[in-house]
Amino acid sequence: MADTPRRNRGCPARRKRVERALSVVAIDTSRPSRPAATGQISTWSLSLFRLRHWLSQSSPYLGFLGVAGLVLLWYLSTEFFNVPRFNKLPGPVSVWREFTSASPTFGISIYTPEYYMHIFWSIWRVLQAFFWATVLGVPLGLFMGWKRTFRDYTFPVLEIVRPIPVLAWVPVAILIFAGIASREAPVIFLAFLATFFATVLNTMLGVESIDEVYFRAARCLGSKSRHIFFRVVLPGALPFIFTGLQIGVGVGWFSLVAAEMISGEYGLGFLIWDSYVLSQFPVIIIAMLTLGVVGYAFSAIIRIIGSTLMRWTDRSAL
Amino acid sequence: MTPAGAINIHNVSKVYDPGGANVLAVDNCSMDIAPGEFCVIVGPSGCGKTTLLNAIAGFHEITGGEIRLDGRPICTREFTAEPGADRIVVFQNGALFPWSTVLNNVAYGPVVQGAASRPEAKQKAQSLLSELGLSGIGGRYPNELSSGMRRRVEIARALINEPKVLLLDEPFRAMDALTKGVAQEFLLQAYDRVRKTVFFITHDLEEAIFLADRVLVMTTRPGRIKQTLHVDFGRPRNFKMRASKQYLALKTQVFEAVREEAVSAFEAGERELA
Repeated sequence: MADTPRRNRGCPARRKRVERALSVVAIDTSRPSRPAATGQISTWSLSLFRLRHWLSQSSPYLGFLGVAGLVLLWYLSTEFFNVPRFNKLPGPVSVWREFTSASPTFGISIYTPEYYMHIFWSIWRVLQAFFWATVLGVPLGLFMGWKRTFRDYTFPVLEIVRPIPVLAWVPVAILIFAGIASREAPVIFLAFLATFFATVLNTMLGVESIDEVYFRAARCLGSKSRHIFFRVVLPGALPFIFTGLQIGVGVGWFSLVAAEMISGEYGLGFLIWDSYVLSQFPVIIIAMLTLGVVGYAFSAIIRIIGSTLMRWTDRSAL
Repeated sequence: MTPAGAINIHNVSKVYDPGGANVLAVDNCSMDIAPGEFCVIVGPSGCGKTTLLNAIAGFHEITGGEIRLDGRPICTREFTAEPGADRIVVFQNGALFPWSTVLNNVAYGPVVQGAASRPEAKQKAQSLLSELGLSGIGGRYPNELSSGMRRRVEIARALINEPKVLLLDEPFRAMDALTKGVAQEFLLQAYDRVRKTVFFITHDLEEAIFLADRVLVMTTRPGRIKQTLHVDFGRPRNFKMRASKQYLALKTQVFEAVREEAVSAFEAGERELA
């Protein structure tokens, strides 16, 4: 051991690393989504490998350059050149200072509980809206896609109501919920509406996308209606349902912010409007960027849940 | 003991009506299939083979005649019996549920029929799979299997229900010649084991002779039975018989019978109907 040549030092560890990476590669190419294969290697080394693979490509760096370019443009137009029409906007430096300050001028930064309070209320409202939209929208969409007669009754109604912009519903929402519920109800209702329509429509299209041959096979094998519903219609529509939920949660955030601007206390939409009224401009930008990050996280979570539920599709291979 | 699965097809006709133009797909077609017989239907595209199969399965109504299964009418002009597990179809392009694992696919029939609890059905499926030489793939999804393997699993999914009749609609159509040969031998082994009535549709004359007790040649649309050929090879069969003189003679015979029809279908150039 003592006379091991210097250049070979540390080799075993390195070799192990390489082997591990290679074994992942081998599985990666030969059996894209075999569950047993993913079980053999630890999740940790797999995600590490994926991260390394991702970092070895150019796209993350190009993406970073894109974001940096946008921030630079923002900086140049506001704080550096003071371009007319942009000079009233807060620049990235002042926003960043405000955002990271322990005692922010306008009371909102990563150190203030108010900031998280607004985020919490918005998320809580979106979750409630999303819950009701899923619970009501998915079954409705499944039945609309499955039963011709039911669709004939309901589809025209849906198609007339769906294009009405959510903001047009504001007075109706306030009238419906006036006095009978908290101030929360109309806001959640508006976010719900948008999510609901996206969910119903996609679920219905999902059922229509199922090949007739699966219905025939199910009937051949002696299925009753409920088996066809739970074991053909529902799983067959699942990929579309998740697309619908992903779109739905996006438009849900959109409507929520609009609703919060009009009626609400707390919430990121409220924060944006309130800050505008009080001329606390950096806060507007903070709230906007927060919306972007939170919204992205929501659709990423749904995507992850979807691909774990649908290991059988090609899309989710490995 | 359930009756063994005799099919009587009597004067069956089927008129399609695409856009007001009446098309006679099957005309006065009659045949009797004995219990446990392996019957192969060959004929040119669009001759009404699949129409006939769909009528037996209960997917289509017919416009004339009658189909009986063990004496009971299952498809007449007035009524079509619901599809059921006594006559199971193996489809042309495969119909394993892609969202279920192989094991759940095979166990599907017994579970939905209420014939077995879920664990029992799974156990039964597992033992059938290993009996058919398919053990070890129960946890896979259909997308992860080769087309030949998928087709074998689909045959297992049908057999687990002990159907009276197995209806196969060109199940090996899209396979390369080697895979096809293996899949055919698999079907023959399964058939030797269960001896159910088989109604098998194909374009492939080789395949027809290799598998069948009896080959029925259908005419160009409107389809009816043109010729019947008995294949007197013993069972079990294997690929070696494909080189025998007797086999080649039979092949020539069927080829001649079908060629005429194929030529007239080709010249008519009509669209294929489901």
